[in-house]
Amino acid sequence: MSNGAIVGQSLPLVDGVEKVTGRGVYGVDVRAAGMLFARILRSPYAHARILHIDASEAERIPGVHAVITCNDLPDRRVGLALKDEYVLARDKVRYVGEAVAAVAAVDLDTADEALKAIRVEYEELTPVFDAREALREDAPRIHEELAHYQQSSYLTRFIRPIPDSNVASHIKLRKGDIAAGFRLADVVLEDTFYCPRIHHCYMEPHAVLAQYTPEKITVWSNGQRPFDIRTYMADLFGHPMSKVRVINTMIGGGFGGKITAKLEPIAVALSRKSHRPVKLVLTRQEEFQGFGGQHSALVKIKSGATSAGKLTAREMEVTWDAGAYADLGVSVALLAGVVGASGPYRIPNLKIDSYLVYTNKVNSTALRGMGMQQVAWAVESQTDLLAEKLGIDPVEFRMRNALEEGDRSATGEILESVSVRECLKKVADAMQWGKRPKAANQGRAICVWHKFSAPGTTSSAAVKINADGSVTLLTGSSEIGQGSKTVLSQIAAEELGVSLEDVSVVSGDTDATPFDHGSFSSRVTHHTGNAVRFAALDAKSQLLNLAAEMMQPMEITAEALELKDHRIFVRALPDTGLPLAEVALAAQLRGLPILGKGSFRGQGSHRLDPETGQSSQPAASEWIYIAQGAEIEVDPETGVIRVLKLVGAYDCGKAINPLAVRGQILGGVMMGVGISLYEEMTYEDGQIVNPTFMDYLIPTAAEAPPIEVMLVENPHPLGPYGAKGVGEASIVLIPCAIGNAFYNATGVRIRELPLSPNRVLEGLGAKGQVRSR
Amino acid sequence: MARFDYFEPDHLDELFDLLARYGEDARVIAGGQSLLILIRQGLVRPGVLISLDKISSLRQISYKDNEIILGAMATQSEVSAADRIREHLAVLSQAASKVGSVHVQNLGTVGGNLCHAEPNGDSAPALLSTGASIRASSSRGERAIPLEDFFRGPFENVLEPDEAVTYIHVPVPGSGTSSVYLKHALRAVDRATVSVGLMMQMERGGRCQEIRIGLGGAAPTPIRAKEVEALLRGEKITESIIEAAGMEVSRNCDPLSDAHGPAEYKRKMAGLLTKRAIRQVVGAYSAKQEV
Amino acid sequence: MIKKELQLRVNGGLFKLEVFPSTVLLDVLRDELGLTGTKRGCETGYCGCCTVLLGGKAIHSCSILAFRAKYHEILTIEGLEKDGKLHPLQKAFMDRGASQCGYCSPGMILSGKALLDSNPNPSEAEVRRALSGNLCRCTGYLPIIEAVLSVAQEGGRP
Repeated sequence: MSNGAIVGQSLPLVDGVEKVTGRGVYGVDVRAAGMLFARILRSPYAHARILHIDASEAERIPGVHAVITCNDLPDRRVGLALKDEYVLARDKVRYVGEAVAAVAAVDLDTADEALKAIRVEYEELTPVFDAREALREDAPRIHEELAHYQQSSYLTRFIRPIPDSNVASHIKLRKGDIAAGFRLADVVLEDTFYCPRIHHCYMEPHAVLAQYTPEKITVWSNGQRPFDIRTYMADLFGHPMSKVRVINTMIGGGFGGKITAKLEPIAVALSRKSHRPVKLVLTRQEEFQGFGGQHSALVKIKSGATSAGKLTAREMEVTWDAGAYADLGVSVALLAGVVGASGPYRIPNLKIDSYLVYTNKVNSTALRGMGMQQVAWAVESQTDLLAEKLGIDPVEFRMRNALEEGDRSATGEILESVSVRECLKKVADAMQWGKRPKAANQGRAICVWHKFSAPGTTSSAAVKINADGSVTLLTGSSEIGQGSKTVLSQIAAEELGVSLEDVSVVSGDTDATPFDHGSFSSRVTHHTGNAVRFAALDAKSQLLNLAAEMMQPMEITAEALELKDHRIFVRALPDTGLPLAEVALAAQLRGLPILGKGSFRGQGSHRLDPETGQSSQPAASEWIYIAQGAEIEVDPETGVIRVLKLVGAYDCGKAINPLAVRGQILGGVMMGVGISLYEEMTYEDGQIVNPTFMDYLIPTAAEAPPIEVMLVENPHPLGPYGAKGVGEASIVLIPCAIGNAFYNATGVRIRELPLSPNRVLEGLGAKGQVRSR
Repeated sequence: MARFDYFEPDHLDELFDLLARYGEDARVIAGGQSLLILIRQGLVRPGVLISLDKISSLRQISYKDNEIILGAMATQSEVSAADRIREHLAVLSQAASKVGSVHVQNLGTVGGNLCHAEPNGDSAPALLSTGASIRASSSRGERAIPLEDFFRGPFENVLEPDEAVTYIHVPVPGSGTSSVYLKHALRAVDRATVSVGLMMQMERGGRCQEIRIGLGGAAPTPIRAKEVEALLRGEKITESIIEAAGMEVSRNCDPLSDAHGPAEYKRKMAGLLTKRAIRQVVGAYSAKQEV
Repeated sequence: MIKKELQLRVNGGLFKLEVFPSTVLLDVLRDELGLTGTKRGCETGYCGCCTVLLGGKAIHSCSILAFRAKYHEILTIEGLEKDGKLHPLQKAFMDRGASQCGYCSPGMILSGKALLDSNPNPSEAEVRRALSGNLCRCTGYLPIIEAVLSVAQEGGRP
């Protein structure tokens, strides 16, 4: 597919100047006259009944304007998908750090003083911290009323809780005949793998400024889904949506961690009570205590293959540790836990059970990769073990089983734009697989995977052609640093024949911009990109029709006209035309200023058959394919793994902005390096032990290995210019590629992340012993 | 951050007066790279902070014939950039360049690092290998404290509430001496999991005349590995004695399990780093001989 | 505890303020001087989003008392642009995709400037080390390292 003048070009971000000059206004930077400063009182207990809260002393402190508890909010459960939580804990706390009360005061010191003066009486209950223990019959019930919880209306009822248990959702997939499948296999392997919790570590903390009046609620937020927040606030505070305005500030990173709106309702409630704007910003420690990162997961996997190297059966049991609330774990347990769990392979017989289990820790949520890195860690590790057992080269084994165009997925979806083999071959060639000798203590591996973008979500957009021919683009999506404003501007500029500089973007404002589900699940380029393109085409059609009229008495129809380089001209007579600005002005003068609108709904549905997991619809709006190679060296005396090189092929459909796509991929790869080697949220009795950047280790510039990025452009039939979303895919395969490369180097299989030096050294020491959790 | 009063004495006498007056309620602040974080975390709540910033004599690095004197306020950056320290005391220069990030090194001081008394700080193991001693002063006078006697426990030093570290005296090593600082950490900016400062004087024939080994992260405080030194002193350094030294370090050290690693891992690393340090110093000595 | 008078030299200007002595430089820059380009990302001195130059040296402004900073010239990200012209590092960051969400960018750029001002031709390893006190979660660091090296190679610094 050829590049346009703008689409397909590596262009600097349109909001780059604001970022490099420090002029951009982030959530932490917004202020309002008379604003108060808020702090949250958090539970010191992992599981306890709340007997009594006395805020009277706190309220009397000079400078304290409001103290709120659950009684200042409706007695209604909330939740993105399953409504199982309260804004401020009511009756019970379920994790250390849960919000119990909040204060708004003239400054933070006063707010902190007020927190100390709030008296809460708790009755401790027995907590359960481990997901396997939580599954036991005699485990304490974290949600006694689970059977009565409602599900959110927009996500069409796919959550399957087990009443009187700690299972928030159990999703199943049954395909073919699993017993027969294993009988056909010449080799059957069974393994268990584990991934711990890891945190998003966006650099900018959560920050909200809220202003409540009976006429209007206004919220400035660095959240990724402003329309979600609007729905939530409207519902909670009883305002119609038209009287709730959510405005995105500049956002310092999200990665899925700024979807759940925990702060917004607290800030609004404080504003309501104090009659002042209220600013609430989290400390880094609160980020680790109040937001739970990605789900830890225990994956049991049993796979069978014939001696010819064909997979015949795969059985998986995935246990996701939800923490205290289901949150987006329901999507993780469905999409990664079942839909994509078995990998980008042809497997005729499948049995998958995915459990989302409550424990008394802060709830986990969406995190880049959405659970895929946890299942890939297990599946791709075992894939190399299978290949080895069969005596087949691991790349060749993957090639023999790879999904192809037109194949059916695990849920029965007919797959389009499949590029598993292409990606795999590209990486194998780049690494000269099988052709280079290997030095001592060095190892190599290549893995493949697929990444879904959530099904059935909607984007809409509007394009205004101003009287001078410049363009204003209105989009409800959030710019979280992924470059959405730039990519969307490129699409608009391409269709409207203007330069990138002529387009300015208003994004993430629920009053000013059309509805968009938001920035998550790698969806913006594909979904909002389409909406923007259709909006631009709509505006273009209006322009061409008017131009044709203006060019009378020449008998020209709009179809004969072209819009390019700020001009509308007759295709066959390029010198005959009008400047775009002239037509735009004329539109305004004639009472029909140009306004284009467009929308797009991604295909698919979350709804699978409850017994078989099959669906007549796609289970994802798009699938992205990835192959990742890793070369590592291990120091056998210290256990330190040094990543020599990471080489990957990423199918983005169409790179609207290759520079931005490369940037997204590099970021995901580095997060992958972090979770492979350094990162783990560590708990003791439900209390996080490493809630700072001193003890929770993310890679620095000194740890970044050489990374090669190869883009594969295998167009998606529905994407704008064929584009798919690549924001998440690159994190997914890093742990298993490094883990397999380590196995290749040492013959030692480690089944738990991170591959810390201590764990590696223990593994090397106990060589030959199979470790499993 | 909790509020405190702040004083910037112009000269040492004023510093000592303030310390005498405020005692336990006061803390001396040098670079602040450790102290300000402790205060922000609420782990330390001084009513008074006394800055050493305006006392110019404390910023100096003085070079005498037989010793180098570091003022308490000499920063890690200044120490790592000092050519003469790099030449004679590579262990100190290397340690200074490995303390956290460049930002931390620009403000953080050697004096402050020592007083913070972390089990796994960088300055202490390096300086222990040099035979350094501290000058602690108050209105009652000055006393010299050998560095290995300076640490009482994790984050605890032996200073009285009215005392401040003013200078660190570091002997200039004799000829035939090489030194090295090795640090094993998870990331480049992290505190040491385990670290070793080693200084050895060798003579022709590869015999060890004098040796000092400082260990960080291997015990509740930075320590001298005296038993290992005794094993090596006067001996010809062979591969088998290096192995024995490594095992002796592992056996004798008493590390704490923490976020940097479990005790067992630190034990192994302490032994390993000691062996690697000895080999490196032997290599440097041989290289010098060949010149 | 009372506020005391403090004079700070920031971005070429002189400012007279009244500040509690326990206030760190970061808070004075953001809250008293409205220079919000310098950011806070943590409380333990690791993220580097608060980096400013003090006497030309890169420091974490969260880890120094404002009163200590009065002895030297302070440069924040706002002081880098001259007469509407971006510093070569700012331009390189934009051109090479070294800025995604942008939150770490002010700190990264200033750390890069401090390095190039004292070491105009650094090795890649030196660049990595100079930037290791600035965390980034978006870019994977490589475009940032490339941007700093590109400015070094072009010999560009005003």
